[in-house]
Amino acid sequence: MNCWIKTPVLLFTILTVHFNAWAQIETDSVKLKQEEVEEEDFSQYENVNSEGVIKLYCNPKIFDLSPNRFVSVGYDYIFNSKLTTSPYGFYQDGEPNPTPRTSKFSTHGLRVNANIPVISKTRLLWQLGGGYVRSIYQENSSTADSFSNAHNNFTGQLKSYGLTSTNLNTTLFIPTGEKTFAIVQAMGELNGTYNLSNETQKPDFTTIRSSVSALYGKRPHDRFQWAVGLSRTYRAGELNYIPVVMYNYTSANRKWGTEILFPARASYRRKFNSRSILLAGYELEGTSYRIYNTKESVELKPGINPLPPVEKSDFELRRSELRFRLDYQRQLKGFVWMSVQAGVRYDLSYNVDALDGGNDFFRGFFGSQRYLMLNQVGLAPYLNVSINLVSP
Amino acid sequence: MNNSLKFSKQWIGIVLLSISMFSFTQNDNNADKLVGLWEPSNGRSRIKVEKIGTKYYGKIVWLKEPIDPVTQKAKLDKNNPDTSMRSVPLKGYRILKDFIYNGKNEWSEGTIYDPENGSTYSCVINMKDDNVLNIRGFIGIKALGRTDVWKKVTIK
Repeated sequence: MNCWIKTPVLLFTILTVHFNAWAQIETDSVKLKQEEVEEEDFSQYENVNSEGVIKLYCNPKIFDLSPNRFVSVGYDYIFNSKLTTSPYGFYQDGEPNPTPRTSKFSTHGLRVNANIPVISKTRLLWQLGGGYVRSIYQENSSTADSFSNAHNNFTGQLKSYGLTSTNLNTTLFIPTGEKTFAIVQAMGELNGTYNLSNETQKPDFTTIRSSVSALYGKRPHDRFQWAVGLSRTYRAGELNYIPVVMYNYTSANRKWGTEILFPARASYRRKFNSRSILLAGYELEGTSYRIYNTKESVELKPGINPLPPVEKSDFELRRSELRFRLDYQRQLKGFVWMSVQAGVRYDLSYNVDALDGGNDFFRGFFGSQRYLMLNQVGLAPYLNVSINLVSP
Repeated sequence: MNNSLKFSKQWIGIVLLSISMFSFTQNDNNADKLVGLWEPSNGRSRIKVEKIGTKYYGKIVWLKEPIDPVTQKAKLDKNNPDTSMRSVPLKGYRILKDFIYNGKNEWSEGTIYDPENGSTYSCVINMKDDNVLNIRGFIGIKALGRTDVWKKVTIK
């Protein structure tokens, strides 16, 4: 009996507590509304004493940079353009092509990138990322005949398997003081005509290419940062060691700025508002791709050719291009942004090397090693659309 | 026998209630350490954290550069996605909202607003010591975020 009396009392108590809590929340919102209209003397906050001691570190960003992307999913389309190839031989870059063969291709494919912060603190920013870039080659016309072995072999690989590039990368931003910083980036990528579903086109992990960049710079104020460094990169199509210059600037009126990581990319930025920007500039895009030679041996004749004969050999496509473009980026909702790029693709290199024993070599800008094929790709318009999850 | 069992249960209930009330009071004392004036690491603003009801809120009370270089007037919340809020002065604007103390010097369930880009992030606040806060804004999961360090300041 006693229990039956106490239970309602307990229930009442609980309900009262809940009601009070609910009433408190109501009161909160009323207070908030009242406070919003209250005037406050803000001058009292001018002069303060610091109680906490914190070590200041250089911020990785400056005002109004285009948003950093955690995840990006996009599609790239290069309109119809000529691909002109030479027969197999030993060519110096720039030599005339004795018997050119031409096909017209449009190229398109998915592009996915992710960069996830592992550590994101004021004293260290460490990101891990991955990327996938697919290029599907669609032949629309060709001047080659059945005797154009080099052309047919090379473009056959492109048509059948396309180019795939998969990479893993990491970036470290290390503040070395309040206004100075270092950046280290490293990437390993597997590029080529590999295909998981075809036994003869299995990925060859010995062909992974590694790139590394290291920069040191200064951030004098919230609208400017610069850095200089050195990069081991394949952006020019083959391995090179090049100096790198970063120059990110935002004007005092916050309407325009620059985003430069020379020579990889450079853009002029125009800010319409905090949710939409336009970038005008270029990007140097390229890498070295392993093209499987499954159809024939490449016979290179000693005496005529300065290099030793290469038995059945895989090829290495040295692809590099400049993309001049306008890039409009706009917030869709919250942290989801879209980017629409339109521009022209200008070919810098599409030559092919035969690798002795499959081993890559260093030619650099001044090496005298000869190419197996001298190829050119015509100027073509392109379009790229992506949806991006951007970082705070 | 049955009555004595009921009696024991009641006492256990009272003891548990007392313990929870005691720990709530203790938590509440630690929770209020967040109240005060704080300065983000960039030193460009000062934020006054207040307790309103059971939650914690922080508003901008000082700006290093209070004047908009374009309009030459007091800075407004011009990047707010809500167009009706773009004429609201930044000074006095509440950028920390709805934080609840959940023990162990951590306040969560709140949001932080970045007037630089008009974005609102989920946020968790950790008190490193009585005078230093780690403020982490994030999107969805804590890993997708950025941490800033704020120091406590007091009015002279």
